[in-house]
Amino acid sequence: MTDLMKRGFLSLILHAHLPYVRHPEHESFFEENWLFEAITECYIPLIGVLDRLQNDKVPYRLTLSLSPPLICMLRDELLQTRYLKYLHQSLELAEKEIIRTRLQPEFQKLARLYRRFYKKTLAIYQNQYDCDLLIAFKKHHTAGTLELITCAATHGLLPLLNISDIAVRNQINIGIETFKTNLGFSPSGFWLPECAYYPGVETLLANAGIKYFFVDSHGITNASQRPRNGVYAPLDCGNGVMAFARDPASSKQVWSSQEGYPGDHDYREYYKDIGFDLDLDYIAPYILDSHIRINTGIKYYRITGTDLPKESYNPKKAQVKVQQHARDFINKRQQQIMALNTSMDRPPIIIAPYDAELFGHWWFEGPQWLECVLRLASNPSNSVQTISCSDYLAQQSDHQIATPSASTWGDQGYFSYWINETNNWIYPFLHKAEAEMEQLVLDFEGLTITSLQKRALNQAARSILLAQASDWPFIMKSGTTTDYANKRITDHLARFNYLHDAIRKNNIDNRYLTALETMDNIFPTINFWDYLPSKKNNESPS
Amino acid sequence: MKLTQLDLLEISQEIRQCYAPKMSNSTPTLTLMPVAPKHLYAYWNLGDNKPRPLQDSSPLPLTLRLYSASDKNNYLNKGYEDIPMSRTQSQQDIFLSKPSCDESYRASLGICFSANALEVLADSNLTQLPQEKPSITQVKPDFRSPLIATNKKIYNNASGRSLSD
Repeated sequence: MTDLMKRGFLSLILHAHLPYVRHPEHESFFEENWLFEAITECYIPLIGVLDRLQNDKVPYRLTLSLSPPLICMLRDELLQTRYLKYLHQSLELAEKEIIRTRLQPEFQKLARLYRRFYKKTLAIYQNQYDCDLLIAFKKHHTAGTLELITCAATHGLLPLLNISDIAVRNQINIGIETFKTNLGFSPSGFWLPECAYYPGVETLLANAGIKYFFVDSHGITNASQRPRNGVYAPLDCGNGVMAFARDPASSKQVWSSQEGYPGDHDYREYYKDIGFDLDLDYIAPYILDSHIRINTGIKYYRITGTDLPKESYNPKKAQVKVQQHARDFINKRQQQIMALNTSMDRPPIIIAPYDAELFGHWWFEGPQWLECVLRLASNPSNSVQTISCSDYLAQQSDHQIATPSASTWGDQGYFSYWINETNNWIYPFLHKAEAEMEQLVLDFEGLTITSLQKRALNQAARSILLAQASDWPFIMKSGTTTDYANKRITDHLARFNYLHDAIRKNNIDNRYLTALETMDNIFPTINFWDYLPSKKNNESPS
Repeated sequence: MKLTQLDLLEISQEIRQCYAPKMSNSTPTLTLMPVAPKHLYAYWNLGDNKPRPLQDSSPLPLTLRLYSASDKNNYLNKGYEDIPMSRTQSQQDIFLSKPSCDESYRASLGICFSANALEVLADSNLTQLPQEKPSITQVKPDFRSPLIATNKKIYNNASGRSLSD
């Protein structure tokens, strides 16, 4: 075997997604903070990593999946304005903290760190990228280091929407169309929400021009044919679309809250936040409604250990751990590749996908770790080379053909997290709404449609897609913001019911329709004809 | 047309109140959904006009007749498996003891008058369950939806506030 063949590949994939949360009917809305926290702690630090790597001319390959709801929220002017207000408030709080902690040098040092952090965040967001982070991601895609892919329109769990082929087709196609409209090119890869695969979805992916997607490990190990190369080479689903499987070993090192890197005692503790610790009078302007304590993002302690008093956070010690953990990660990948090379008929590819929001939010040091890993992997003396799946497919041909097994990367490995006693009530309503939409569109085929009807039909399609988000049943099962998830899905289904009724009765109120278009303004170029059962891709009835 | 925040809020509230989802179906339906290997979920709606046997005080059993979609003749040696279903609920989890060879299923929901005779009220879609085979240990992400799964008390309060609109 040549030296080249002794090498192997590491494909790091970050999946960036948040549910579509935007409430123009309120002056501010707490759940919009999910986006603001992610921008501050995850996406801008990631952009900082990519910019530094580019400046230092470090050769690397990273894949980033941007979900359509996230794409739309990042481009939304209302949310951009609200984010700037959020960031200015964070900066103001950090400056107050510097004053408050003047007699506590350990904490004051950290308060200054946060002020620098927020200032830099503001500079990147407002000055460097003019409040449009998609420009940053596209810049690195164009540079050839970052491969951008996308996901289903509203992150719907496709196997549970598969009562209707059209529902799944639209989740895929509208997702890709949204990506294309905003990024200016078509993606090669597709992130199945929750890696939820069912046999047959590859046909719809192929029709949409997708070349590859991802499944969890058992999706490949339980495939229709035993995979010759385990999870370390993709399978051809039989139609040229390739399925890549997650590597359990590299996942565990990062994902596990007990054994993974993020649980190291020197890393920043997530749960000790000044929003919960400081006097209410002092912290009131920075928490919810001036009295409900929430995370502010300013945290002064390290994990320390279970059942131990928390000690102050030491960024330098944390940085040492970052370097150690990055080296450990690369070393382990090298050992994996050496072992795999003895039995594989081609260079192995290790698929390491993670939620992008892990890096920087739960795991404050995550972006630094990622940067270290990419720098280490760029060293030619390593036998690990970072690669994207597109690059791998360009180099390797003749893949084993097999159908993956239905699976997810969720708890228990299948669909039970999204359909159980906490959330199964939603499915009859989702399926009914889908069937009604398809029938409605079918009934309009061949008829003259007014501008008002067209707007209403398009808005009805938006309501269905928003109701189909897998985030809502996920939240219902996890038991966190269940009231909000229930409210959201109820609202979207009610809005669909209203529009369906108004369209059927030819009684569309322009004021009500405008209100719904204002509140749910996702997918501006949506086309209701996509719900026609006989419609092929890229065709619209005249 | 320019709408104020109050306009948007009022319209949103009115629509939620007047158009909240509710099941009504004149046509009986039966839907099967995959959950996990050997685990199906079924929901049904028998429509506005329930058949007389279901209205009697001494009801006959409501039965789900489950067929292997591809192996009708050989599935469990008689072509189907009969599963008693709740008469008071409209949904039920179904756990299979002996899965079919390819895990594809259809079903009919009806009244079982005798050992083999089923008066069919609704037929289902085709569904396919995941196959269960020995596999390598799955690593489940522990850090899932980090921006959502934090302090339960706070998020309930926060969501409670947003529900008061």
